Amino acid sequence: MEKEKIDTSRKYVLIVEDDSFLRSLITQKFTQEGFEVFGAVTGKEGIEKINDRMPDIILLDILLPDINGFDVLAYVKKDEMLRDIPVLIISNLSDQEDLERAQKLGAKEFLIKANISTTEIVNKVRETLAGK
Amino acid sequence: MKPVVTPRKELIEKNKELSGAKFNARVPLFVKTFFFFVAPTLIIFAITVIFLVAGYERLVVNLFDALNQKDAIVDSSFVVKNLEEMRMLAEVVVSVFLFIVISGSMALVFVLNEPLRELIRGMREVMKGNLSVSIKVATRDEIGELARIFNLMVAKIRVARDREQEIATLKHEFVSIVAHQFRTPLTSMKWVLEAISSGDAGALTKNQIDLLEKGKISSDQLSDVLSDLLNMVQAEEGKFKHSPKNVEIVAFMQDIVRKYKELAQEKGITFEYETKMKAHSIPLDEEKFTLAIGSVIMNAITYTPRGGFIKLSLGSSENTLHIKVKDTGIGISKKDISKLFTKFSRGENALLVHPDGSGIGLYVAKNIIDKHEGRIWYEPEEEKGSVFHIELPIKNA
Repeated sequence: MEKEKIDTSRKYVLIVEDDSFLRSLITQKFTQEGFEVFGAVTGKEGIEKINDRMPDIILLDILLPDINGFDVLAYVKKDEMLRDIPVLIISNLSDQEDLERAQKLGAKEFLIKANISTTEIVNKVRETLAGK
Repeated sequence: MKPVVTPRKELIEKNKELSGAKFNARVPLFVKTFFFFVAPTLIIFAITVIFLVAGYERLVVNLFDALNQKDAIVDSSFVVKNLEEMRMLAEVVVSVFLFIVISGSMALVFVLNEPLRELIRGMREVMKGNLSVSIKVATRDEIGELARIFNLMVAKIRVARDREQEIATLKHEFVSIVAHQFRTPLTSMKWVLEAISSGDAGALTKNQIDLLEKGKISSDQLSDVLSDLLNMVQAEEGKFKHSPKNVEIVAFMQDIVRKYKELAQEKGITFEYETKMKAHSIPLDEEKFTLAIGSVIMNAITYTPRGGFIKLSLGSSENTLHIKVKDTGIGISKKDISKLFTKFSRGENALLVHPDGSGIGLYVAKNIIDKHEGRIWYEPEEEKGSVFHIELPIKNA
């Protein structure tokens, strides 16, 4: 019920994902669901996009070509202005060390790509935005 | 000469290095034995003989003196007195002699046993798993030889163990890399199937939807197997940190029930939960334990046919918490029971129902429950089905 109330049409989702195919699949899904979506291929590009326009939520991969997702996450959480943006990690890493590191740095969720559908990701994003 | 002698010398040196014992550094045992036992015994024996001879000589001289004094009457009491003195003298000397012999023997036993004690100490260390032990026994006898061979043996085991650990690490790395590498293309496949079946690429016929659904189930199975493999590697490498926190077990089990009841019902299985327990907190690594109990319940759901029955119960005795998962499923054949909690083990019956299982779930579950100092075991049902028991210690926090 809560879900219906939120107007997602104006919500801006940034997806930092280096795999172009996965990025396009997930972008398509979020666009369909009425979100405004932008993609970034590398960590640095992600940070640039975050600074250009503050997203409402960030979906962040960990293994990226330049700086990794942990660095991007740490950057966001250190910045007073950006700190409150929820970050959901979407990665295929699942080692406990990685999970703990993400949690310590302040990630809201740690989702394993291979174990989750795009619909479930959209639901997680909605839940997170609703709980904000 | 030289080319023959040099390698031989080297060989001897290497042998010494390997065994870790310095053979010439110690006093040989027979020297010790001589000083501690043989020499004192001989000296005491000699003194005893001298004293006895001297004593008898005095007696004889005294007797002769008495006899030579013509006037004197040989007093029998005089002879008796001298003999009495002799006896006392002999007693003292013999006592001292016996004392020395007995304590000397004990000392000898102690000295002789020292290399054996050293061997025992070394073996105990090896038993504890310390393979860097080198026994320092340098006697030139059978015990010294035994120690030398023992050291060589431990060195060989050490080499083999290091090699085995290296292989295990490589194996873990391999599995981990493969599993991670599989995940990315698998993600694409799953997301594509999802997009097509939700009609993103155009309307679908019922037949097409059915086929896509089967594809989705298979890709889910594959991602489960990959997760199992990665969990196994983590558990085996000891990266699976055990971080228990106080968790209220009754509420925890309610969450578990909520999660799996629906899954069971979707498959047409009746799922019942029973507990008489009141709220109680126990130290639990919630995430891991969820994985462990999840494996057991998921197995019950997978191997129980439609129309079956699963009963989960939670109870407690004084110091133990008891979770029971009972099902009316296919059960486990007797010959598979012993391998139930080992890695990659799949039961004969299980293979027929679900050929794609990884055989890792219960292995990881046992690993997690062991860390909680609990235990998990299987009890065959009389008619058909299985019962899994999990016991956890209740420690008052």
